[in-house]
Amino acid sequence: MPTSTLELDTSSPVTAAPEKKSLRRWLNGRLVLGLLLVVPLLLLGFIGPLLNLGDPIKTDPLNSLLGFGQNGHLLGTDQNGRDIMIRIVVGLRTSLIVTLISVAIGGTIGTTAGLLAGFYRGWLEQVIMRVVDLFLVFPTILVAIAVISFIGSSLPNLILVISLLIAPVFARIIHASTLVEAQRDFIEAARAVGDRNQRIIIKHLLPNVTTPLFIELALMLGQVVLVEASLSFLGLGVPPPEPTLGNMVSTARGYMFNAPLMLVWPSIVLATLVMGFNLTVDGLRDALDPRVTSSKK
Amino acid sequence: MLRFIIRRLIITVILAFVVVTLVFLLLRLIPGDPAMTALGENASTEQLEIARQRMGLNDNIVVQYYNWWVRIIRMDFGESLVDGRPVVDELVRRLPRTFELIIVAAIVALFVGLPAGLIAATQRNKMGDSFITGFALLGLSMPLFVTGSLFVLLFGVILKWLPTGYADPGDNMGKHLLSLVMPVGALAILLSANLIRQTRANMLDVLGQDYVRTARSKGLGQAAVLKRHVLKNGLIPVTASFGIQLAGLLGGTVVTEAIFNWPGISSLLITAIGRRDYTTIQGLILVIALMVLTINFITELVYAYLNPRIRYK
Repeated sequence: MPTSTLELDTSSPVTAAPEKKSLRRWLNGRLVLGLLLVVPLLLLGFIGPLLNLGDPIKTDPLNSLLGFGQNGHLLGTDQNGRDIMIRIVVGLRTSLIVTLISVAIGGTIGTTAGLLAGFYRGWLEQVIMRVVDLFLVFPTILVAIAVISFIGSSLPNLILVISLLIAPVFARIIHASTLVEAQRDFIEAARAVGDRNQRIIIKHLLPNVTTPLFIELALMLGQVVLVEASLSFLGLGVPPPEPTLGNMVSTARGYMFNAPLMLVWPSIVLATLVMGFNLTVDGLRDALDPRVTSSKK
Repeated sequence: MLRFIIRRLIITVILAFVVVTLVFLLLRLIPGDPAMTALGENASTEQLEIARQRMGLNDNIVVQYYNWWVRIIRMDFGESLVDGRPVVDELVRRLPRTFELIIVAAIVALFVGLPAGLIAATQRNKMGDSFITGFALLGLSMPLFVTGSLFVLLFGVILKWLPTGYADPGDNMGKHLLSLVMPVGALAILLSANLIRQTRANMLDVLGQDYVRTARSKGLGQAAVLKRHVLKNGLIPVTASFGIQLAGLLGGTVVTEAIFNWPGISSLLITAIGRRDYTTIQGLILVIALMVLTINFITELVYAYLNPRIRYK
C-alpha cells in the first residue's frame, strides 16, 4: 500500500492543538501504561518497607529455599531462609533511592552547567562542553566500574559516581536547548527592561527548557535503574547483606537448579520498572512535544 | 575529507592522552595506602614493598607519571599484583574471546534489527509494527544480566538445549559455537532493540520527505521508492548510532561475560576487581577505553564518508 504513508503525512501534526485536546495528549497510551507500571512500584518501594513486613536480612536456615507460597512466604525464601518478597520490596527501595537521588543531583549539576554554557558562551562554554564530550565518549557502566573498583563500593560512592556520570548527558541536552532559547525575543526583552543575567537564566531560560529536561529526566531514571542494578549484580553496588534487585538476581543464579523462581521474581520487578520508565519517556515525548510523535522518535 | 580526518584524528589523540592520564590517576583514588588495600591488613612489609613497586608508587608523582607513559608506549601494562605475570599476556590471550562475542552479536543484530526496523516503518501502526516496537521496548528494558540469567535458566537448566558454560574452541569447535549462542543472543537482543528504534525513526523521517512524495507521484512502486530513495538516506544516521552502540557493547560484555563465565577481557576485569588486582584493572580499563576511542573514530569517518554534509560543519 504505497499510498498509505503519503496520506498519513499530508495530515501534518504541526497544527496547534485546540485547548480541548490538551488533556487527551496526556492520556496517550504509552504514558498511561508507563505510569501504571511505575507508580505502583514507586508506592511499593517507598511504602512497603514501612509496613513492618519482616526483617529482610535476618536468616532462618530451617526455612531456606522455600517455593511459591510455602510457610506463609508468598514468593518463597532464599538460600538463607529470608523472605523473597520482603527482600524485593526493600531492594526496590534501595534501587529507587539511588536512582532518584543520583538523577536529582546529576540533573541539577548538568542542567546548571548546560544553562551556563549556553547562556554565557565563550571560554566557559568551551570548558564545560569539552568536559561533557570527554565523559560521553565512554560507556557509563564502564566508567562506573572503573571508578568504583578503586574508591570502593558503598551507597554514597554509588550515588556520587552515577550522578557525575549522568550530569554530562543533561548538560548536553540543556546546552543545545539553551542556545536556541537564548536567541529568542523575550530574552532580549528581558535584557531591555534591565534584568540581571541570573534572573534571565532562572526566570526566562529555565522554564523554556523544561520539555527536554523532563523527557531526559524520565529517560535517565530508567537508565540509572539499569546501571545501579548491573553494578549490584557485579558486586559493585550497595554491599550485601543489604538486598538490592541486582544482587538478588546475582545470588539467585547460584540456586537455579533448586529454586528457579528465586531468579524470576526480582527480574520481573526490575524489567517492569525500567519498561515503565521507558514507556513514560515515549508518552512524555508525545504529550510535551507535539511536533514529534513517539511513533517517529 | 582529508581535513576532516586530520581534525578528528587530533581530537582522538587528545582524548587518548587524557584517558591515559586519567587511568594513571585512578590508582590515586584508592583511600589510604593502595598497597595495603590491595593485599589486606596481614601483608608483610616485604609483600607490601613488592606491591608498591609493581604499582609504581615509590617515586614522586612526576617521575611516576613519566614512567607510566614510557611503559604505555612500550605496550607494557605492568605485572599483575596477584600472580606477577605481565598484564599484557593475559590481555592478548583473552581479547579474541571478547571480539568474537561483539562481532557475532553485531552481525546478528544487523540481520535482525535492520529488516525489522524497516518493516515496522513501512507498516506503521499496523500489527507488525506494534509487535516489532513492542519487542524493541522489551529488549531495551531488560537489563543484560536479567536476559542472560533467564536464558541460562530457560535454555540451559529447564530445556537443556544449550550448554551453560564456556567451551574452548581448541578442544571442541562445535561445542564452542553452541556455547556462543546464549551470550551472543543476550547481546544481540539489546543491540537490535536499539537498531530497530533507530532504523524505524529514521525511515519514517525519510518517508515523510518531499522527494519521496515526488518519487511516488511519478509512479514508482513501493520497492523502487524504498530501494532508490529511502534506504540510502535513512540508513546514514543509523550507521552512526550503530557505531556508538558497538562501543557501548564493550560495557555490555562486562555483564555478559560475567554471567556466562566467558574468558574475555571483561570477565578478567571483574575477577581483577574481586582480587583488588589494581595493575590489571588499570591495564584493562586503558585498553577498553582506547578501543572505544578507536571505534568512535572509525564510526565518524564512515559517517562523514556517507554523509558529506558532516565534513564541512
